Amino acid sequence: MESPEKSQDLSIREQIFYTFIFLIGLVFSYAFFMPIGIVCGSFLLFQKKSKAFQIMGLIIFILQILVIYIFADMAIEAAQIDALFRG
Amino acid sequence: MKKSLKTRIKSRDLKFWGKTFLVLFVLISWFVIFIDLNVLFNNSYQSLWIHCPSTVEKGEEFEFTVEAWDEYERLAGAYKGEIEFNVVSYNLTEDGYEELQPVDWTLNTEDAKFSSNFFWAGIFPAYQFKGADNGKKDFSMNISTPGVHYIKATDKEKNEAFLSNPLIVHKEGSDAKRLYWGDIHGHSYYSDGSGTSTENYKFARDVALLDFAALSDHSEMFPQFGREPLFNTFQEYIETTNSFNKDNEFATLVALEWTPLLPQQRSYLSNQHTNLYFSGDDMPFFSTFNQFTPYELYEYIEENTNDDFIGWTHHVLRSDYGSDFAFYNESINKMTEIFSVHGCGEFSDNDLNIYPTRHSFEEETRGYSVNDALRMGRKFGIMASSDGHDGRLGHPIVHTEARGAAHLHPFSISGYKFGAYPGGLTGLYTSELDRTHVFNALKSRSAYATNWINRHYMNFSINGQPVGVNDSTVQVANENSTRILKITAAADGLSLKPNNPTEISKIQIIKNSEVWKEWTDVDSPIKQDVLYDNETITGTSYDHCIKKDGEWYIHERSIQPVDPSTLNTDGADYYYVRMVDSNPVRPGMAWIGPIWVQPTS
Repeated sequence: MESPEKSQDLSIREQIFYTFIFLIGLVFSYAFFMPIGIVCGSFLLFQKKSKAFQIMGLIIFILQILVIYIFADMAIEAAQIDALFRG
Repeated sequence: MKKSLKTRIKSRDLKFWGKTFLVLFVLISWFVIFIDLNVLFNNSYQSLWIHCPSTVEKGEEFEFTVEAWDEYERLAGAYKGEIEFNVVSYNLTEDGYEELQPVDWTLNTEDAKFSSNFFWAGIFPAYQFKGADNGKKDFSMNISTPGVHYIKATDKEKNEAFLSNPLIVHKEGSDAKRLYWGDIHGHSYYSDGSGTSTENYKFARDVALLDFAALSDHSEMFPQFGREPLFNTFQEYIETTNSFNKDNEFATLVALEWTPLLPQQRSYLSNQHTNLYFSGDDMPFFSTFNQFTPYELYEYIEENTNDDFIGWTHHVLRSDYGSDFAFYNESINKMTEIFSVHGCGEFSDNDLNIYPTRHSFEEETRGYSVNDALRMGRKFGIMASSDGHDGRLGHPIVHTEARGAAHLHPFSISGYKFGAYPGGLTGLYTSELDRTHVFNALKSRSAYATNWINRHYMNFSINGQPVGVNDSTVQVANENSTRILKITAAADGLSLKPNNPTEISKIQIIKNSEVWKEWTDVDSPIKQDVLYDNETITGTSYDHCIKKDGEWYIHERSIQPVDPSTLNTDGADYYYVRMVDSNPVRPGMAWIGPIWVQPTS
């Protein structure tokens, strides 16, 4: 019996579907649509059929952390300028 | 076997919880940065904005508007207050001003109570809901006493009073030009901004209450192949601009921003972003993918249109997208944008610059600021715009804590919602409100700049000649001729705090890029003064060129060689006036000028 930890062979249809989810996840990792990207990334990360697609899910989350970092930096800069004017 | 299984279970648990932590971390971080529950649900009234025209004739019926704002300067859609009106009036005298009484005025609108059917808090914008006032109400009035007037609106229930912008009532039959307000630099979904072009123009006309406006989307972001735009989007963009252009109501200009990438050039990416404005209802498509320098751009446009056009650069002190004033065409580069959401480009010295540009150069960096350009002999008038990317042309709110909220309408794909300064406006003196007159007023520099949505009244003349007349240049007999400077300023009463109208705090006359005269602690709504300058006219020059590869450049990143001996004002002195108001959080400002004084001998 195959271990659930071990990758299974994916059918072509599944591979296309997972690739599609990955691409959607990448596109929607941009700041304002990120929840969609998070759903896609979570789907890939928690599925157990393919380790390769788990890694792709992880890539989506790394991208999202990068985007969050960039926007957090902008938010902090804006808050610092606010503080400058409010003394 | 048992131990191995336990280890495997633990390992699986660890992986599961690790993944769960990762997902929750990203989700919570996104929520913290992009969702603001107060912006989402709190849309309650905080202040009133009273907007009236800046100039009318004695007895002329005019419309003015009262907007109830929430703490983020959005319409407070659920406001149901009743307003009581009064008029506060002043008379300009030879050496200042005096209170004016009695004043003959009539309010022609009986119903001063706001109605509302708005119940969506901050989720949807109140201005899109019809059938009730929803935070914005128009009134009509006549004033038959010439002078400087402020409309005072008091919320009856809360006894909170707010003042309008100054309203100048001219004598009947006066030939004085009218003062109109606009924002001619904003971005929509066509490039990296927010909202459709229609939404932006509607907002500019109906909510920001501008007289003229222009979207100037980045040409490089329109779909294009070779030299041609694709999918008709460029034509749609122009058609929308033209559809909002109505004589005597709301003027729009066909405009586009050229955003240079300058590939294969020296060590920088993209200096000298330039907005181009056209006198007619069409423009040729251009982009930095085909026209690599401003001179190539101007040549291409001249070859491809019969319409007149003008253009200038902006956010001049940004270290990533600064200016390159070595590129200069006197007949096209008529103005420069001194203020926008990016900050102020007036001086690189932060002691003189209240709003240092975001991502600005080091303070000692020379050659980028508006004043360095003036020292070089560049003849620019001063204007301001929002350069807004948040879909609120004429009144961006990226300086409020609503910045960046993912749920704030109109939605955006742009990080520019995180800007931190208020925008700016341009005031134009012109006899008519239509595209031709707006274009010509900009071209003749009959204009001045303010920040935020201030409609400060400013006038400045030397020897009786105001800004924008005779190429803003006063000819005098020789370098020792006396110059008579007259300044008039009336602060916009706009304030976010009730019973605390804004006044003038400081006025400075900048001569040859240095503070020549200043009045501090003015603490009055109006200031008028006359000064005499008997100092010898010296002119200025720019003395900070650097030599690279055997050629001279105005700064390290300029790509256009210059002859340093030509970088001067040809013996002319220049003066401009800047005003700072008493707004305690973000001081309002206005700049008018320059006027050059040129000895003829």
